[in-house]
Amino acid sequence: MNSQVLTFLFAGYSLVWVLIFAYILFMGNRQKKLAEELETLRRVVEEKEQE
Amino acid sequence: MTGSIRPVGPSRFWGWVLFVVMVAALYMIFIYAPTERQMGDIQRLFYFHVGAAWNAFFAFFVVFIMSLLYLKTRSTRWDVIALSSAEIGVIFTTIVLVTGPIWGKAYWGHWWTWDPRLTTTLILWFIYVAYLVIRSSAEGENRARFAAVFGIIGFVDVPIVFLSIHWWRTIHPKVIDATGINMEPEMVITLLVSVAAFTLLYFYLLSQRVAIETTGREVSRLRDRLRTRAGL
Repeated sequence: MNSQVLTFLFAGYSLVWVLIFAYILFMGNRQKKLAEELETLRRVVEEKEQE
Repeated sequence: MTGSIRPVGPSRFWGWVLFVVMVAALYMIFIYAPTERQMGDIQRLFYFHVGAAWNAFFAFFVVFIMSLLYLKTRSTRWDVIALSSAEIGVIFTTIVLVTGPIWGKAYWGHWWTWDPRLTTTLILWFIYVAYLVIRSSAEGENRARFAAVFGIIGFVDVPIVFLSIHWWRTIHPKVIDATGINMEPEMVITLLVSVAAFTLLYFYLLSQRVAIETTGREVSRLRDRLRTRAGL
Protein backbone atom coordinates (compact mmCIF):
# COMPACT_ATOMS: atom_id res chain seq x y z
CA MET A 1 0.00 0.00 0.00
CA ASN A 2 1.41 3.44 -0.97
CA SER A 3 2.50 5.24 2.23
CA GLN A 4 0.76 8.53 1.33
CA VAL A 5 -2.52 6.70 0.64
CA LEU A 6 -2.10 4.83 3.92
CA THR A 7 -1.68 8.16 5.75
CA PHE A 8 -4.89 9.54 4.19
CA LEU A 9 -6.77 6.32 4.94
CA PHE A 10 -5.52 6.31 8.53
CA ALA A 11 -6.40 10.01 8.94
CA GLY A 12 -9.89 9.44 7.52
CA TYR A 13 -10.81 6.50 9.75
CA SER A 14 -9.14 8.06 12.82
CA LEU A 15 -11.15 11.27 12.45
CA VAL A 16 -14.38 9.28 12.07
CA TRP A 17 -13.70 7.39 15.32
CA VAL A 18 -12.60 10.52 17.17
CA LEU A 19 -15.89 12.20 16.17
CA ILE A 20 -18.02 9.21 17.18
CA PHE A 21 -16.26 8.65 20.53
CA ALA A 22 -16.23 12.37 21.35
CA TYR A 23 -19.99 12.50 20.77
CA ILE A 24 -20.62 9.35 22.85
CA LEU A 25 -18.41 10.73 25.67
CA PHE A 26 -20.14 14.11 25.51
CA MET A 27 -23.56 12.42 25.76
CA GLY A 28 -22.38 10.16 28.61
CA ASN A 29 -21.19 13.16 30.66
CA ARG A 30 -24.39 15.07 29.92
CA GLN A 31 -26.52 12.10 30.98
CA LYS A 32 -24.54 11.62 34.20
CA LYS A 33 -24.85 15.31 35.18
CA LEU A 34 -28.57 15.39 34.37
CA ALA A 35 -29.23 12.16 36.30
CA GLU A 36 -27.50 13.64 39.37
CA GLU A 37 -29.42 16.91 39.04
CA LEU A 38 -32.69 15.02 38.62
CA GLU A 39 -32.02 12.99 41.77
CA THR A 40 -31.26 16.14 43.79
CA LEU A 41 -34.34 17.96 42.47
CA ARG A 42 -36.60 14.97 43.23
CA ARG A 43 -35.28 14.91 46.80
CA VAL A 44 -35.84 18.65 47.23
CA VAL A 45 -39.38 18.44 45.80
CA GLU A 46 -40.22 15.54 48.14
CA GLU A 47 -38.86 17.46 51.14
CA LYS A 48 -40.83 20.58 50.19
CA GLU A 49 -44.02 18.58 49.77
CA GLN A 50 -43.60 16.96 53.20
CA GLU A 51 -43.20 20.38 54.90
CA MET B 1 -48.02 19.92 25.45
CA THR B 2 -48.59 16.24 25.97
CA GLY B 3 -46.78 12.92 25.61
CA SER B 4 -43.51 11.77 27.11
CA ILE B 5 -40.86 9.11 26.70
CA ARG B 6 -39.30 7.23 29.60
CA PRO B 7 -35.57 8.05 29.78
CA VAL B 8 -34.24 4.65 28.74
CA GLY B 9 -30.83 4.59 27.06
CA PRO B 10 -29.45 1.93 24.71
CA SER B 11 -29.30 -1.56 26.21
CA ARG B 12 -26.04 -3.44 26.74
CA PHE B 13 -27.26 -6.13 24.32
CA TRP B 14 -27.61 -3.65 21.43
CA GLY B 15 -24.24 -2.17 22.37
CA TRP B 16 -22.65 -5.59 21.86
CA VAL B 17 -24.55 -6.19 18.60
CA LEU B 18 -23.28 -2.81 17.34
CA PHE B 19 -19.71 -3.68 18.40
CA VAL B 20 -19.78 -7.06 16.57
CA VAL B 21 -21.29 -5.62 13.36
CA MET B 22 -18.84 -2.67 13.41
CA VAL B 23 -15.83 -5.02 13.84
CA ALA B 24 -17.19 -7.19 10.99
CA ALA B 25 -17.55 -4.08 8.80
CA LEU B 26 -13.95 -3.01 9.54
CA TYR B 27 -12.67 -6.53 8.79
CA MET B 28 -14.52 -6.53 5.46
CA ILE B 29 -13.36 -3.01 4.56
CA PHE B 30 -9.65 -3.70 5.15
CA ILE B 31 -9.31 -7.46 4.49
CA TYR B 32 -12.28 -8.87 2.55
CA ALA B 33 -13.04 -6.13 -0.01
CA PRO B 34 -10.74 -6.08 -3.05
CA THR B 35 -8.69 -3.01 -3.94
CA GLU B 36 -10.48 -0.78 -6.43
CA ARG B 37 -8.60 -0.81 -9.76
CA GLN B 38 -8.74 2.92 -10.59
CA MET B 39 -8.61 4.63 -7.19
CA GLY B 40 -6.57 2.10 -5.25
CA ASP B 41 -6.75 1.68 -1.47
CA ILE B 42 -8.06 5.18 -0.72
CA GLN B 43 -11.41 3.90 -2.07
CA ARG B 44 -11.70 1.96 1.24
CA LEU B 45 -12.87 5.26 2.79
CA PHE B 46 -15.96 4.90 0.60
CA TYR B 47 -17.60 2.32 2.91
CA PHE B 48 -17.80 4.61 5.97
CA HIS B 49 -18.38 7.68 3.79
CA VAL B 50 -21.48 6.13 2.20
CA GLY B 51 -22.60 4.44 5.46
CA ALA B 52 -22.57 7.85 7.18
CA ALA B 53 -24.22 9.59 4.20
CA TRP B 54 -27.13 7.15 3.97
CA ASN B 55 -27.76 7.36 7.68
CA ALA B 56 -27.53 11.17 7.66
CA PHE B 57 -30.29 11.12 5.01
CA PHE B 58 -32.25 8.65 7.14
CA ALA B 59 -31.77 10.80 10.27
CA PHE B 60 -33.11 13.87 8.43
CA PHE B 61 -36.01 11.82 7.07
CA VAL B 62 -36.85 10.91 10.69
CA VAL B 63 -36.70 14.66 11.56
CA PHE B 64 -39.12 15.32 8.67
CA ILE B 65 -41.62 12.64 9.79
CA MET B 66 -41.36 13.53 13.50
CA SER B 67 -41.83 17.24 12.69
CA LEU B 68 -45.02 16.46 10.75
CA LEU B 69 -46.27 14.32 13.65
CA TYR B 70 -45.43 17.08 16.14
CA LEU B 71 -47.34 19.71 14.17
CA LYS B 72 -50.31 17.35 13.89
CA THR B 73 -50.45 16.12 17.50
CA ARG B 74 -48.33 18.64 19.50
CA SER B 75 -46.99 15.68 21.47
CA THR B 76 -43.50 16.39 22.87
CA ARG B 77 -42.38 12.81 22.20
CA TRP B 78 -42.11 13.57 18.44
CA ASP B 79 -40.28 16.80 19.14
CA VAL B 80 -37.74 14.96 21.35
CA ILE B 81 -37.08 12.35 18.62
CA ALA B 82 -36.83 15.05 15.89
CA LEU B 83 -34.26 17.06 17.88
CA SER B 84 -32.22 13.94 18.75
CA SER B 85 -32.27 12.69 15.15
CA ALA B 86 -31.21 16.11 13.79
CA GLU B 87 -28.20 16.21 16.10
CA ILE B 88 -27.08 12.71 15.02
CA GLY B 89 -27.72 13.62 11.37
CA VAL B 90 -25.36 16.59 11.77
CA ILE B 91 -22.69 14.28 13.29
CA PHE B 92 -23.05 11.85 10.35
CA THR B 93 -22.98 14.69 7.78
CA THR B 94 -19.80 15.94 9.48
CA ILE B 95 -18.29 12.46 8.96
CA VAL B 96 -19.25 12.70 5.26
CA LEU B 97 -17.70 16.18 5.00
CA VAL B 98 -14.50 14.98 6.72
CA THR B 99 -13.97 11.73 4.79
CA GLY B 100 -14.94 13.24 1.41
CA PRO B 101 -12.17 15.87 1.25
CA ILE B 102 -9.55 13.35 2.51
CA TRP B 103 -10.59 10.99 -0.29
CA GLY B 104 -10.61 13.94 -2.73
CA LYS B 105 -7.13 15.08 -1.73
CA ALA B 106 -5.71 11.57 -2.21
CA TYR B 107 -7.52 10.91 -5.52
CA TRP B 108 -8.19 14.32 -7.18
CA GLY B 109 -5.25 16.14 -5.59
CA HIS B 110 -7.31 18.83 -3.83
CA TRP B 111 -9.34 18.97 -0.63
CA TRP B 112 -12.43 20.71 -1.94
CA THR B 113 -14.16 21.64 -5.18
CA TRP B 114 -17.53 23.38 -5.60
CA ASP B 115 -18.98 20.26 -7.21
CA PRO B 116 -22.82 19.98 -6.99
CA ARG B 117 -22.73 16.94 -4.66
CA LEU B 118 -20.17 18.51 -2.33
CA THR B 119 -21.89 21.91 -2.33
CA THR B 120 -25.39 20.57 -1.67
CA THR B 121 -24.01 18.36 1.13
CA LEU B 122 -22.37 21.39 2.76
CA ILE B 123 -25.69 23.28 2.47
CA LEU B 124 -27.44 20.31 4.10
CA TRP B 125 -24.99 20.50 7.02
CA PHE B 126 -25.63 24.25 7.42
CA ILE B 127 -29.43 23.75 7.28
CA TYR B 128 -29.43 21.29 10.19
CA VAL B 129 -26.83 23.23 12.19
CA ALA B 130 -29.25 26.19 11.80
CA TYR B 131 -32.07 23.88 12.96
CA LEU B 132 -30.09 23.10 16.14
CA VAL B 133 -29.32 26.81 16.68
CA ILE B 134 -33.04 27.66 16.34
CA ARG B 135 -33.76 25.00 18.95
CA SER B 136 -31.38 26.57 21.41
CA SER B 137 -32.46 30.18 20.81
CA ALA B 138 -36.29 30.18 20.62
CA GLU B 139 -38.43 29.85 23.75
CA GLY B 140 -41.22 27.53 24.95
CA GLU B 141 -43.67 25.87 22.59
CA ASN B 142 -42.65 28.28 19.81
CA ARG B 143 -39.25 26.63 19.79
CA ALA B 144 -40.68 23.21 18.94
CA ARG B 145 -43.09 24.69 16.37
CA PHE B 146 -40.41 26.74 14.56
CA ALA B 147 -38.05 23.78 14.61
CA ALA B 148 -40.74 21.45 13.20
CA VAL B 149 -41.44 23.83 10.29
CA PHE B 150 -37.71 24.20 9.68
CA GLY B 151 -37.23 20.41 9.89
CA ILE B 152 -39.88 19.90 7.18
CA ILE B 153 -38.56 22.63 4.83
CA GLY B 154 -34.92 21.64 5.41
CA PHE B 155 -35.58 18.09 4.23
CA VAL B 156 -36.08 19.44 0.68
CA ASP B 157 -32.26 19.50 0.33
CA VAL B 158 -31.92 15.71 0.94
CA PRO B 159 -33.31 14.56 -2.47
CA ILE B 160 -31.37 17.43 -4.10
CA VAL B 161 -28.10 16.08 -2.58
CA PHE B 162 -29.00 12.54 -3.70
CA LEU B 163 -29.97 13.51 -7.27
CA SER B 164 -27.32 16.23 -7.77
CA ILE B 165 -24.89 13.80 -9.45
CA HIS B 166 -27.60 12.89 -12.00
CA TRP B 167 -28.91 16.43 -12.59
CA TRP B 168 -25.60 18.29 -13.01
CA ARG B 169 -22.13 17.58 -14.35
CA THR B 170 -20.01 16.20 -11.54
CA ILE B 171 -16.64 14.66 -10.72
CA HIS B 172 -18.15 12.80 -7.76
CA PRO B 173 -18.03 9.01 -8.35
CA LYS B 174 -21.37 7.51 -9.53
CA VAL B 175 -21.72 4.10 -7.94
CA ILE B 176 -25.32 3.54 -9.00
CA ASP B 177 -26.48 4.49 -12.51
CA ALA B 178 -28.81 3.20 -15.25
CA THR B 179 -26.58 0.14 -15.79
CA GLY B 180 -26.84 -0.89 -12.11
CA ILE B 181 -24.27 -0.95 -9.28
CA ASN B 182 -20.76 -0.41 -10.66
CA MET B 183 -18.90 -2.46 -8.07
CA GLU B 184 -17.62 -5.98 -7.57
CA PRO B 185 -19.95 -8.25 -5.52
CA GLU B 186 -17.51 -8.32 -2.54
CA MET B 187 -17.56 -4.52 -2.49
CA VAL B 188 -21.38 -4.47 -2.55
CA ILE B 189 -21.54 -6.91 0.41
CA THR B 190 -18.97 -4.83 2.33
CA LEU B 191 -20.97 -1.67 1.62
CA LEU B 192 -24.19 -3.31 2.87
CA VAL B 193 -22.49 -4.43 6.12
CA SER B 194 -21.05 -0.91 6.61
CA VAL B 195 -24.47 0.68 6.05
CA ALA B 196 -25.96 -1.84 8.54
CA ALA B 197 -23.25 -0.95 11.10
CA PHE B 198 -24.00 2.77 10.71
CA THR B 199 -27.75 2.12 10.94
CA LEU B 200 -27.22 0.30 14.26
CA LEU B 201 -24.97 3.16 15.39
CA TYR B 202 -27.72 5.63 14.47
CA PHE B 203 -30.32 3.82 16.58
CA TYR B 204 -27.84 3.35 19.45
CA LEU B 205 -27.04 7.09 19.51
CA LEU B 206 -30.70 8.03 19.02
CA SER B 207 -31.79 5.99 22.01
CA GLN B 208 -29.08 7.59 24.18
CA ARG B 209 -29.85 11.11 22.94
CA VAL B 210 -33.61 10.67 23.46
CA ALA B 211 -32.94 9.51 27.05
CA ILE B 212 -30.81 12.62 27.71
CA GLU B 213 -33.40 14.99 26.25
CA THR B 214 -36.18 13.33 28.27
CA THR B 215 -34.14 13.59 31.49
CA GLY B 216 -33.32 17.24 30.67
CA ARG B 217 -37.00 18.08 30.22
CA GLU B 218 -37.87 16.35 33.51
CA VAL B 219 -35.17 18.44 35.24
CA SER B 220 -36.66 21.64 33.74
CA ARG B 221 -40.15 20.57 34.83
CA LEU B 222 -39.04 19.99 38.44
CA ARG B 223 -37.13 23.32 38.48
CA ASP B 224 -40.30 25.12 37.33
CA ARG B 225 -42.31 23.33 40.00
CA LEU B 226 -39.89 24.45 42.69
CA ARG B 227 -39.90 28.03 41.34
CA THR B 228 -43.74 28.05 41.42
CA ARG B 229 -43.74 26.76 45.00
CA ALA B 230 -41.25 29.41 46.01
CA GLY B 231 -43.46 32.03 44.31
CA LEU B 232 -40.72 33.20 41.93
